[in-house]
Amino acid sequence: MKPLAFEKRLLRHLFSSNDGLLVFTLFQRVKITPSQLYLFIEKYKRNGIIEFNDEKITLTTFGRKEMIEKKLENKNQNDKFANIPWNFKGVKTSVNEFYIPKLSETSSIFKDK
Amino acid sequence: MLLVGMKTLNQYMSKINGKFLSRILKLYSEQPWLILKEKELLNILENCPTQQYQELIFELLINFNYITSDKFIEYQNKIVDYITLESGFNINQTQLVATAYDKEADSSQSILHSLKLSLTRKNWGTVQTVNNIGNCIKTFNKYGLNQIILIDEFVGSGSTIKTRIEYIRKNIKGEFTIKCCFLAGISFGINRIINECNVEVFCPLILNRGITESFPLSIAKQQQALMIELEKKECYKIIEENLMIYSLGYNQAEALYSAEGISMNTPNSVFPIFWWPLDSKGKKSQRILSRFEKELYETLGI
Repeated sequence: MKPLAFEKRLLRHLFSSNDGLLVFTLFQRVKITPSQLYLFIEKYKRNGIIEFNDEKITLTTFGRKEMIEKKLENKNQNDKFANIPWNFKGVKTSVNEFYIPKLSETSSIFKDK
Repeated sequence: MLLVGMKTLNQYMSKINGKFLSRILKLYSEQPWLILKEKELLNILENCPTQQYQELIFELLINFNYITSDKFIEYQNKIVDYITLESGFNINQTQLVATAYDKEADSSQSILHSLKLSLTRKNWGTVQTVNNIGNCIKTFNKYGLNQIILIDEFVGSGSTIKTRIEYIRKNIKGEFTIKCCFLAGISFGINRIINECNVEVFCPLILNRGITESFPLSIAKQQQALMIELEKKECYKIIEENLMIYSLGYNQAEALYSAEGISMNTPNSVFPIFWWPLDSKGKKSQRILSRFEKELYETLGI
């Protein structure tokens, strides 16, 4: 079953912590209800993806592997330029290569006074 | 999708600390029905003036007896085993009688009807079932079925059943035996029926009083006082003279039981903090359980 958005966020937090997280820490970081957290723990515990021992939630080795293979990490939603299709991309200017600037968008120090 | 609205969640978020969260998660694992009642659960916990009150609510809820369809089937089978194998009654002389009295639909009839499938599997499908006490008398008179088993869902103080038994004894002329089967009951009520009415009772779920018979004596008194304080605050008008009898459950039964999971009305023996229809301001409350009771609603003016 496809993971829900908040589940992906929870899994990402767990992925980026080496030694697991305290339940409460995870709860504070992701805005969810206690019932959602409980259902998440039960679901992913059953799938063998996480371990839960009263206080701490940790990703299992299997869980970590699953996440990498199935790309369960959430892509950075704010990076809107990350996924531009190839046919919309123009010529890429290399570093220190000369180019003709757009005068209206350059700083006024380059313009004739 | 959030089960609790964001606005409510923000209200409660600041109040949730690590220990509280652990307690809630533990509660959900023992009582999964509460997951769908999260808003009402957080509400009652928030209305607790101090952590001591919250501790009491957690303690009571973690031991709650909530009947789901799985548990119900288990109890049904036990009742049917009693009827067919242990009661010593004969299928041709037995009538299974719901303890309903008037023409209103009653949970006793629901329980009685639900036994039919299990009874059929034990070759008792043809046993006579009777839907109320009045018809029990008629059935005796017409067919001579003198082995009577009274069926009901829940027994609190036992006074209702006692009245029924006395009514039958007064109105049947002849030899007969009465036994009782209940889905659940408070232990002092069950004992009362056994001792005062001299009948055999089978009840697969016997409950102790939730505070008085569940905590050591010294702590129990203190916890009772906390509950009474909470009731005064949260249950509209419960301190009024004619409503005091509901405090700590009707006749102080202190029951922790509900069969809402199989669509039954929660009994008034249950702590009213969990089902009282009006909140502290006299508005319709949102509690983890609900109960409809005609006379009570009329008294409260609902």
